[in-house]
Amino acid sequence: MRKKLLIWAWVITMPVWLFAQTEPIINATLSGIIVDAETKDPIVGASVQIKGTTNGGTTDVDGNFFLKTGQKLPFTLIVSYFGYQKKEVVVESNTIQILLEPDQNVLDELIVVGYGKQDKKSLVGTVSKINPRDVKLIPVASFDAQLQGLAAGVQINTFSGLPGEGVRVQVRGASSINSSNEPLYVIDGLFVNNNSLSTINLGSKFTSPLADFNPADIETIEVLKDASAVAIYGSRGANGVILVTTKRGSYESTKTKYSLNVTQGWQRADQNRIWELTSGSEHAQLVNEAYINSGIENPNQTKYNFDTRPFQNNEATGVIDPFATSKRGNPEDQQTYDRLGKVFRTAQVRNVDLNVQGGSKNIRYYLASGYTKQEAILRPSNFERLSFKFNFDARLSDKVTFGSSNGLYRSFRQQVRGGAGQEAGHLLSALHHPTYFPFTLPDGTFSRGSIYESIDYLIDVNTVDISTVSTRYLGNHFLEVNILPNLSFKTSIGLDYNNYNEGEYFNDKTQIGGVLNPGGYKNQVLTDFSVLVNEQILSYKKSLSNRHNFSALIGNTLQKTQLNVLSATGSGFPNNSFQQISAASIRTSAQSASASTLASFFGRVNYNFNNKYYLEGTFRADGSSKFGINNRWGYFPGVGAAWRINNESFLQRVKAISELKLRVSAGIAGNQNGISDFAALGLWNGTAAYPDNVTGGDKPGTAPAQLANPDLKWEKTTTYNVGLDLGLFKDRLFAEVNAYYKYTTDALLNQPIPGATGYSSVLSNAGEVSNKGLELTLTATPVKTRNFEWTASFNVARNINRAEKLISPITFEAREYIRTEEGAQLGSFWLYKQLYVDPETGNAVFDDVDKDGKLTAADRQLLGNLIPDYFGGITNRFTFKGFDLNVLLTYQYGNEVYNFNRFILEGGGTRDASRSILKSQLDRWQKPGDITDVPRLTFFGNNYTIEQNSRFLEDASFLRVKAVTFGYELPRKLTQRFKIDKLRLYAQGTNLWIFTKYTGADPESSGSALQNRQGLDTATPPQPVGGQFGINITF
Amino acid sequence: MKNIFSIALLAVFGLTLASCEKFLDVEPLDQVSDESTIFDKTSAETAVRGAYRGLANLNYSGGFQNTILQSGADIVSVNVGLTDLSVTNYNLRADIPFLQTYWNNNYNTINRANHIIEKVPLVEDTKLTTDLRNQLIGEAYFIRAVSYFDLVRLFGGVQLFLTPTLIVEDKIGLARSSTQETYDQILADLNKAETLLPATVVRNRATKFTVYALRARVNLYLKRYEAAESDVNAVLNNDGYKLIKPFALAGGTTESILELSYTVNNINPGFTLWSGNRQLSPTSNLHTLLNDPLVGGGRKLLSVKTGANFFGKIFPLNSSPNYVIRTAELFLIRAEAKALKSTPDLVGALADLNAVRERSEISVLPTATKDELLLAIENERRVEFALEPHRWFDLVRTGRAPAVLNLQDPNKYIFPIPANEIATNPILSQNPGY
Repeated sequence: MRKKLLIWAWVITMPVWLFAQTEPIINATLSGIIVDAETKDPIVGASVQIKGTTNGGTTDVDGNFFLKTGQKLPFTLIVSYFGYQKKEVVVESNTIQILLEPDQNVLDELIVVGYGKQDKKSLVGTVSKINPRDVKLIPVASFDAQLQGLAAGVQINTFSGLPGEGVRVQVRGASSINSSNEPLYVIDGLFVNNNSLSTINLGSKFTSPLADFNPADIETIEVLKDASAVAIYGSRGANGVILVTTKRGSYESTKTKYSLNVTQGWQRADQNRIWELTSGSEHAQLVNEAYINSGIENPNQTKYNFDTRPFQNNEATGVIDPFATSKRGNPEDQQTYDRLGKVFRTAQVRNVDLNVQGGSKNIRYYLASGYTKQEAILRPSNFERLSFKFNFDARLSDKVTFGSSNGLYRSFRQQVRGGAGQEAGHLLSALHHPTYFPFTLPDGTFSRGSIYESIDYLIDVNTVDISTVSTRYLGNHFLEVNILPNLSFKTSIGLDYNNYNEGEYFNDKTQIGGVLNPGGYKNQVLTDFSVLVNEQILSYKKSLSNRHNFSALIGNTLQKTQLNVLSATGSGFPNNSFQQISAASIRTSAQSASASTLASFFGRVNYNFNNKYYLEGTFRADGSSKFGINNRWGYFPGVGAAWRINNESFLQRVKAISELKLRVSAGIAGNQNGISDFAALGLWNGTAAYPDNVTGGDKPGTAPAQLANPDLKWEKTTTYNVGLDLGLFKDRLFAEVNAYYKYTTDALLNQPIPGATGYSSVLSNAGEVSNKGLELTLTATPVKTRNFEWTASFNVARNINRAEKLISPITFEAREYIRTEEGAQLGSFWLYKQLYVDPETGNAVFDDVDKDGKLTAADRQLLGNLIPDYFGGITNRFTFKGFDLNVLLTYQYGNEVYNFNRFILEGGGTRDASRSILKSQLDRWQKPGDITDVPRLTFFGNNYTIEQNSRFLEDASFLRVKAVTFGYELPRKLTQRFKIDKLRLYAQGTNLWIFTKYTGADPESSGSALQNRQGLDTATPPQPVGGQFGINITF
Repeated sequence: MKNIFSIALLAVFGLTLASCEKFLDVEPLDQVSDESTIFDKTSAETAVRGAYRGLANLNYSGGFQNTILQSGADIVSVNVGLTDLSVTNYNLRADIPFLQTYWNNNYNTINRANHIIEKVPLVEDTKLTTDLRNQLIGEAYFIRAVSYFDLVRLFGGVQLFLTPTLIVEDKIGLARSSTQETYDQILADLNKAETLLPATVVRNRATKFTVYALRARVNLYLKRYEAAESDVNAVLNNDGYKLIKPFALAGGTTESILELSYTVNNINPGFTLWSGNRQLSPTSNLHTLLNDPLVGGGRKLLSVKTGANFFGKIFPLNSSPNYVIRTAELFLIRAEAKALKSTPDLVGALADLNAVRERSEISVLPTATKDELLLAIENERRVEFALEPHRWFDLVRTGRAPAVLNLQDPNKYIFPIPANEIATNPILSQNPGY
């Protein structure tokens, strides 16, 4: 940013100087070229000035300059350019080549922090700045998903291959159990909603509100991690803060910059990782085997035995009828029907971005529009976004500046019920329908198994149409007044408005629209959400004798969040041509509303002595309407200090060390995200209507809904951080190490309480959670020559998480797969441990923990965890002349996933007609001596009746070739002829390869995006393998 | 400039704490807080309707019906899941989630009733007449009795909470009552309801007759046959309660003594068991019995064979009522009570049984010994309540589970206390064998 500004500043000011220069005394000239001392590339826009005069100029696009000097030789020329060391050259001839040494100090870059910007070298807090170049590597709809592997300690997982869906983002581990663990998002100073507004059934998947936003408009992304950095965000900072700054124009730019970026790509599911199902006859054999084995094992019963096996010849009719409950024909007569092939497709991904950046003396602007269409690899899902962005600033006088950031977005989503989607579960239908089950019934209509909708209906939007239009405005307007040279005041008002219109329609051929709600079913939900923020900041800056540097700010924020939901459903349409609810014979509607407010006061003081010793103190007080009247206000202080050791005299001679900085910080931040607006109140709801007699309709009824907790208060996280920045060899090698300890008290959690109270839980501050960890980021430029450069960066984070205090263990998920208990990590899997399959009997042998000879709930143990031990990313970038190659690897190590698909589809044949069977089931025990972990097929005993069997818990560590980009920038000399400043052609590959032991389609998949329910892989499409081509033109 | 500065300062610091507190007061619009729930006639009425909704959608949840029907072995799951196997193999573990669901559901309804029992007597509203006040309180006692009865049938003796939950600590530290004490409380609640409720005929809410009908069933479970017989008489003496012939679904007819109502907004959770996704199916045995003109007679409409599959037909619509007590049950309760009371009345018992057989157009039994009669009653109940959750409880209550279900271990006759309930309140004891 700063670099560009300076270029413009040079370009703009040059003519002024030219006019100002004195008439030459003699008619002497000087021509020359200015090049980079290392790469020998010409430097464009460098400034040259004859010492002692105002006579000077700048270099052109080839690095050449020409001056009428009017000077006698020799004279001294001052040459400077941003990013290079200033140089004085004695000129002794009429032509000259000047080599400029790059100023290797990368620390000059500005870092955006809460309510301001700081030089990286004076930074006290721990902030990761993400290179915007890296963000654009992955063609996904929302920018949060693009951050994977780019910042140490920021764990990002994409739960499914559906575009525009929710992503897990966790900064330095999970500190909360029931409040959200997602960071706070601030875009251009505006607090942006990150909680999905989706209410219709998407199979416990959620849309991402961040996907509304166009990543192309992003200038920088900063992640604030430690207490010193986040304490200024007080009650919302505990999970880290992600600051996004969008592009702006520049004042006094002589040239308006037009930029066009077009990409076209293709994506598909990795065929090597898609589930392999048994054929129709294999399925039939396995089911029969379960019946036969059960008959031998338990001869007293008549339900399961050789005679009742479902796949046998029907002597009476002789007909092979796969739909029959019994006697469906012999196994070898069963056909195989591939439903997965019907849902997966090669998806197209298209993106066009156009923007204009410019400005004049007192105004500057950035105007952009973008269009994205991403088909999902899963038919018929897709995501489409139209975005408009207008950032505008005006200097109203030398003291008053007005500015505004505006974004208007419209996102359309064609959706499916992913994950656990009940009767209309989409991939469930394709994956879980038994393969022997024909697509159509004998009468030609599409068939469905007993649980799921026919896949042929689900992929046809005329039959099943689930779609959402999100219309969003993000805007923040400010007025800044420089009251005194050192004192400025800024007031702003911002709005995050979202109109979210969801609809789902099932026509009368489907289960939902035919049987459950006869005559077709339509549900339309209109959600109206707004966040209004008003903020005032007063800031002050002062330097005394260049040694004592002091700055301070104070401010306040008022925020109001409102949510209104209006929904209508209809069923019983005259026919399938009528799809509007007014045509429905049965109509119902509902309305709900919620609101919350937050009032805050905050301040920050920075002091540094001689750019060696830095001190920072922050404070915020937050009052929230969500909390009990007794604990409404929370107070969040933070302090930090840094010591730039390399500025000490004893290190100044050690040339190898270009930067050495020690940072320490401590502070408290809070969390309230994700809890209900009225969490502290005892509530009754009004939905329990009941008729007064059998002929009367419902009359209003009320029932208790929530237990009061007037003491409900902020969850508070105390964080300690020690960090060391080390730059070697002019920062060619740069390392940043951070160690932290976070301790959360009063953790918000739905404390399980005895059901005998009439409630199952109460939101309380009943927990304590700790996170401690280490983060390392290494950046290196191993090779840098005139034509070739190789830069590499590597980051790794280790986080150890522990529930320090809980009143009682808390379990999650219907089958209670996930359990959090005192002394263990959050999100541990709670399972029965299958030790082995007895080679003699074929029975699964489980760990009998309490040695009572029975398998009871007491035998369940915590085995594995969904949180990785280590994770991070590796980026390598190579440039050779106009070519560039960028390779991003991401990795995660030491986490487990419960392969729920395998649990369902390796059911030992006991699920018969209701589910398909995976090929892996064929490895079952068949005869004494067989060594396998797949037990003998039977309906009895524990072999296939233990729902929480550790056999399906798998190592989900992975190393992924996330993105490879290869680009070529045409030589400027060539493009200039067509008035093109820059023309770059590139090709990108995404998710090209993955190394993992996980047997499911994608180790990052999660059937549910709900917090505490992640890590169970249920019928979720994997992230696609993709390739795309793009062109980027700047005029 | 001075002006802007002072406005700025005002904006930053002028906001007094008082106006801030006001800014922070946000009240919900679609829910009300605890203090303003039952305070006048209307709010008392809405709270009672809420308790019925609890009964209809929580106590008689689809899951509850599913489990009890499958335990009775005449109904099977269409998609045999592992949970179904644990039910049908009688191999329940305390951590099976549905146990917690049924437990919570009943206590949720009990809490609703307790709020009414405690707060309605205190309401000061001239529009709330004594009769109406008594009726509302009486209905709450009845609803509480139903819920404790279902709990004791499922889990044995449970904790008896008779006051609303205001804070969690209210309900921690109370141990389970014995089965006998639980039944005593149920009877006490029913007796109280009897004194409060009007002697009218309303089929989807409790009246005096509904109380008698439920008490007849409770007395039968307690083997207090004389009391059961007299309770049945108290109902059947009223013309409002008669068998309807031919056999038909009971909704809104004289057959219905207590049915739970549903609407498009609050749909019958049992509907999806049979229609919708069809989670359940009659076994071919049951289908054969129902369609045998000598056994099922008119009741054949309950099971229909389409293609190779059997469909249970009890809830034609998602707003069809759910039958809690039907007139036919009272006849069969009285038949059993007459046969088993200290001075058996086999003729009377046979007459009651034949009344039920007759209306389904199957031949009456001419004579029978006591044992034959009891078996005939058991078999009649099997087909009469083919799709209603009775058989499991009947086989357990009569001690016939070992013979019919091949279930020898008496520990299995009640379900385990949910594991999490014990985890959160360790004073609870687990049932033996789990």
